[in-house]
Amino acid sequence: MASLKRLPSPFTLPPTRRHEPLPLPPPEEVKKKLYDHPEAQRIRSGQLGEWFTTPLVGGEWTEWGKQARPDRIGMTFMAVNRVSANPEPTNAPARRLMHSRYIKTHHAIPPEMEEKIAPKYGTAREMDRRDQVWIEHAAELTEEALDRQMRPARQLRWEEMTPLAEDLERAFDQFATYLIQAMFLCSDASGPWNGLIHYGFAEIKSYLAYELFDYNLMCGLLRKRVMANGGGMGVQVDGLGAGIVEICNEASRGFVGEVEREFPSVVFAIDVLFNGLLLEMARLAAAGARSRFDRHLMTQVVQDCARHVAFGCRRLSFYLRHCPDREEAAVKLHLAADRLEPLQAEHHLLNPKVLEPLAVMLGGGAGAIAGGVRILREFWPQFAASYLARLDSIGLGRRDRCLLPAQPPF
Amino acid sequence: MANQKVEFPSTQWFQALAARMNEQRAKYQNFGFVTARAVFRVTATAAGNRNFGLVFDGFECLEVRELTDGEIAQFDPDWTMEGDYATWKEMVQNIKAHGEADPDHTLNRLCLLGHPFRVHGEDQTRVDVFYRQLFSFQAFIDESAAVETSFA
Repeated sequence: MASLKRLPSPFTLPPTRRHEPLPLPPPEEVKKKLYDHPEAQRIRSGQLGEWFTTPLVGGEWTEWGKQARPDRIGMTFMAVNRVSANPEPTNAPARRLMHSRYIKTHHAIPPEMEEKIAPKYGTAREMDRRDQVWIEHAAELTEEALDRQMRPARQLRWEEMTPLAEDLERAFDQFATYLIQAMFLCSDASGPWNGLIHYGFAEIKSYLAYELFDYNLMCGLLRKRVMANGGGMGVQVDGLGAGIVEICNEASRGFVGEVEREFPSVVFAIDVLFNGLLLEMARLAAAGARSRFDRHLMTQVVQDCARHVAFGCRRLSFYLRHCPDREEAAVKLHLAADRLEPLQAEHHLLNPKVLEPLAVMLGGGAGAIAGGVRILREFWPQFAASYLARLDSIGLGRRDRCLLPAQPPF
Repeated sequence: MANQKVEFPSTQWFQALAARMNEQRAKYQNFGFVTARAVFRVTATAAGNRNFGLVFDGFECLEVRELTDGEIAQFDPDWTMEGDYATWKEMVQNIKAHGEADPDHTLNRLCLLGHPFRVHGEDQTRVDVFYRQLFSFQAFIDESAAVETSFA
């Protein structure tokens, strides 16, 4: 056995800390500075600050005296917006972060100071225009996303889980592994964008947070399901994110620099196209699920993906109707679609690690896979048909150039 | 009366389902709220094609009415679920027998291939409401397990 004696590295590594740390002030000095701080003196005096002294009407305070009442669903965004003086965000560029349709900007802070307090790039001021962010009926979709989230403790009865034949368990586990991978991909790609959306678009920020929650909640649930019924995690689906990762990286520009970023391309890739395909896959899996428990889980995936698709369609529809240059915007989205469709068709729709487990589930076992393949073949045209119908609806028709195969290539 | 038979298809039959939904708010709150205008279309009945327009809002079904073919567009449905009488009858009987749809008779399964049921509409983004709120619509149809149904 070779000696484990440590040899000197042939490389000279740079020091992890290039500079000497700044000398820290003595603790007594820090303590005295804080004690003498004007705010500390004011607190000691018992005086309340400006938040309490500003006039409730006409001062810094916003919308005093409002009494929103629950609507048919509960205390929703719609209920609050009904009494608000600013039920929708305006198109005025944001000057600060929290300051928005909900909170007034401070009169004493000049614009040049605001720019220093809240620089545009790298903060929630990056996306502060309606055409960049907003959707029709934002409040309703956001409440739906919250209301229709899976509540595992109340809605899932783990005791109802049914042991499956080994081939069916293996097929379900492989399909679940695919979904987990797909949802982590969506979560990672869309997550960082929320920090760039202004607080004035509270409904959208909430919606995107709920969508992230959907992905991560379902990943956890699917893994629990896989580990709880005698099976185990399946194999990774190579190439699942084909095109998606590249489009999202180009759109974000690594979230670095003072540059315009392309949120619509990300929404198109993740919400409209990818979630659209996941929706159809989940419908197939729900139809092929052999137990009530598994069917319930897949139906939740259907609902989640359909909602994500709805967000994507509304976002792009609003964007195309309100952006400064509709033609350029449409061209960019078409170019993204031109790249994504063939890659997703090849690496996602035709991936044997996705299709074969579905065929086993739909056929009723590995020995009956031919029946499952027949169902997949008959279902296949819906992948492109539903996708194209959605694009027609949002004003991005591409029936003349879509590269998702209309007929099954098998 | 609970044990009085209600004929399928009829406005009364869908109203019976609506009544059961409306008296089980907690159950439907668990699924999430519904906002949909739906048409259930039963083709090839003895009386021809029958259409029933239903309005769902919150956790209730607020309206049930029969529509002529010509009235469907004015009703402005988000989606229409269409199937022939024989398939509807088989589904309703299956739900009665099992207390809820078995794997081969769920709405998703029956609509999967565009036959024997088909979900369609003018605008795909509105048709997608069917999938967004699928738990609620399945539970609504499953209410027929508690309705004594006679078939025309």
